[in-house]
Amino acid sequence: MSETNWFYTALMMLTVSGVFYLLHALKPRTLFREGGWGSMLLSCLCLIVSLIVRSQHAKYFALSNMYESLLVVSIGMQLVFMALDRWFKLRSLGIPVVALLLISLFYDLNLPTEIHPLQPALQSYWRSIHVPIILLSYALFTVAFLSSLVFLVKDYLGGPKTGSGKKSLTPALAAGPQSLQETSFAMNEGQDALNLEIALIQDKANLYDEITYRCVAFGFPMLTLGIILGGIWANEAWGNYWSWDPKESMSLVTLLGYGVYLHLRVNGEHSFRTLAWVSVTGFILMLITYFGVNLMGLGLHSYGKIG
Amino acid sequence: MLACFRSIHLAIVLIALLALATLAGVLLPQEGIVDTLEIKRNAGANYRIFKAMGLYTVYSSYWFIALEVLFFLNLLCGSFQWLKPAFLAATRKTFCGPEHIQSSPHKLLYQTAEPLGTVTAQVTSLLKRHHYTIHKPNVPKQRRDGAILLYASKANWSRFGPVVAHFGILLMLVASVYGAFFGFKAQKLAVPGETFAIQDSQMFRPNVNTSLWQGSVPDWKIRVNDFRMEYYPEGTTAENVQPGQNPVIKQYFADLSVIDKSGRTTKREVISVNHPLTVNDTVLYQASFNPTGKLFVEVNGKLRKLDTNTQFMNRPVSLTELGNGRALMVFPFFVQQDPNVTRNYIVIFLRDAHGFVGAKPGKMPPNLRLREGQSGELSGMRFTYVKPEFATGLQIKKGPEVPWMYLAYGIIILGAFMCIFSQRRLWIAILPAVDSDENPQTRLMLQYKTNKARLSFMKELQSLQNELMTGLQVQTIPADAVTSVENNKPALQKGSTHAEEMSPV
Repeated sequence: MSETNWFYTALMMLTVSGVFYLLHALKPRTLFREGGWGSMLLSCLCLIVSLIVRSQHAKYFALSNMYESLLVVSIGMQLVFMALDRWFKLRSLGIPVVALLLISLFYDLNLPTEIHPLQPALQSYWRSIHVPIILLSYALFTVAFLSSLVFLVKDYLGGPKTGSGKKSLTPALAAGPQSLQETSFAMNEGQDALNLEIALIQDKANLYDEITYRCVAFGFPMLTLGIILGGIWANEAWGNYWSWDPKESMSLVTLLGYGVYLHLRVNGEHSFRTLAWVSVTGFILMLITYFGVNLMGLGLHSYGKIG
Repeated sequence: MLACFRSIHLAIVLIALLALATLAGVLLPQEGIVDTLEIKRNAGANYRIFKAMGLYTVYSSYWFIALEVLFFLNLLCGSFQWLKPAFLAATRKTFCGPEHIQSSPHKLLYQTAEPLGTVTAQVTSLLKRHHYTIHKPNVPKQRRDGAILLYASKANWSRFGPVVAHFGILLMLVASVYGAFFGFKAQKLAVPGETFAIQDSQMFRPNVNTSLWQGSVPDWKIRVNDFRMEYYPEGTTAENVQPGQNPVIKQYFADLSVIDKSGRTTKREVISVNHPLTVNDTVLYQASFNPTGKLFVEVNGKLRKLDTNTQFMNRPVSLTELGNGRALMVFPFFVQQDPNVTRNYIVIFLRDAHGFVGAKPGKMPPNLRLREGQSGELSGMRFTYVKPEFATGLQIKKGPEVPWMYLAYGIIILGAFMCIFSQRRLWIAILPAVDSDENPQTRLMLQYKTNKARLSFMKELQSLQNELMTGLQVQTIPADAVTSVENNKPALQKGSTHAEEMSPV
């Protein structure tokens, strides 16, 4: 099967996955969630095979232009989401993830797909290390963004009030047993404190704040590592580990943006809602880093230029 | 004042300001990336003001450097401030008695008919299976309530993650300053056969103002023995893919020799892109190439070195007298300089006193197009295009800070990944109790705390709870069922429990 056929098969499986997750969102059933997860796994495998076939044609690891990098980001997003779904058994995140994946992959289809021989600057093993790490961080931040969106929707539509004051794990529990009656939970007989605390986190909005945090907590060191490895590569190639190239500078802006998120979280004085908005801002910065700079086509990363 | 510098609020503000400033440098045209003439043209009358404000050289502007200095001070003060709490949180072992656990909002309470010793042993074993390190008081005192106190923790080292990462950043900033005062950069376009000293390179410049620079320039010279380019084989494409505008140059190589003061060759190496030459702490990189405008052409078997010495219809052209009343006119075309050129080639015309040789009215004069290595005939003369002369573009850098920079990178990466993990702590009290029928029971009280990844921790506790229920047949008891703990002294064992230890996450 050709590279393109694998790609279209992946799109088809992703659509099936979306249908399952939509059904699961409307009427939670293990069958629907497992169906969605399984279809997404097949889609991911098809994309991976598509990349392998392309690499075989090109005779190098196919990660040298926008089409290939967006393909890798999409694979990364699928892997991240599947891991999260396995661990947290999500209900509301599947649909936005599938929707964004479909948009990304359809956009990818419109990008130039010609395979070009590698330029001298790209003939290095660093390309296979630095680029995938950066793209994986983008995938994590994208899932974090979608999780923040879900959080904000649920929060604005009336989830448990997280307040604008000090962020607390369990404000209800901290206040004492009586306050539990005021939450959206009924204190079921036999429901112990641990299950209650877990339920409080998993209920409605808080779970998606937790997921956003976990994605950023993994994405931030990945982006740090990717930027550093890029600097080492640049030093070996051009003798300059940092040259304020637009791509480098913009990736630093993204890193600093998520640094603000993590410091705000550690500080503990800001609401989950504020943190969600900071995560959304970080994602916008990441989009400018990934797409915006490539549209400009300036600087040392100009081989990523679109078109 | 120092407390202000240590503040995390200041850190958040400075990080945000640095992000905005860096963003400004991306969005505004920067000298060095965009042509200065173009910037002046677009800025018009505002150019001088904007330049004085540093908008076109953001990253070397006074306000950006001031931000970096403030950031450095905040990072320095804050890192030392956080070091002690991180150390204490990671290393201090504290024990909480039943009263303290009872007063905590983060507790789990169980009761079982199993004896105290069995419960203690099984809880210890269970926690060890979950990779917790268990601690008992150094001098276990027999408590009046008979409680056994334990402290369990794991991933204590993760508390040092932020401190490690911050120190890595500090080292990186210090290393970059060191490099600024002792390092230099240079660029040189050199043709084969040329020997040059580094300080004679174009754009040789120390990283800071010459009056402040503390570094030194190597006393050896570089000779370019040869420069060549390697092309992808003709028609290199993938299956079912149109060629498009292929970058057909595969690699370019410069054969360099290092010549010491006595004229001896101490080193000889062929460099290419991504494969530089290192001489002590000075590195030479194959960065680029440029046609010099000279062409090697054989004319009737005689090699001639032609110069592009004039212009014709706005194109550089070589015009050379051949000595037989004819002049050789050669138009060169180069890959990556001229659009749609996939191989270097020349177009040859012959001129004489009457104009182009063999020209007919209304028609293009006879000409010969030759690629590198090709031969052909024109108007009875034989030509071979041997090769164009290229100068190799070398980037030369002395970076004494590079090993320190790499060390800093390693520390930052280590710290950043340490931050992913969360410290998990459990304070445990196991004490004898009785049930409502006065039957002897054992009460298990757990206080828990983590600094991150709350949900994962809760799920781990759920798993522990399930194992306790299976192994010890424990039952959960509501928090308010434990109305009072037997009268005893304040339930603190060796090592005081600080207020912050007991606060909610």
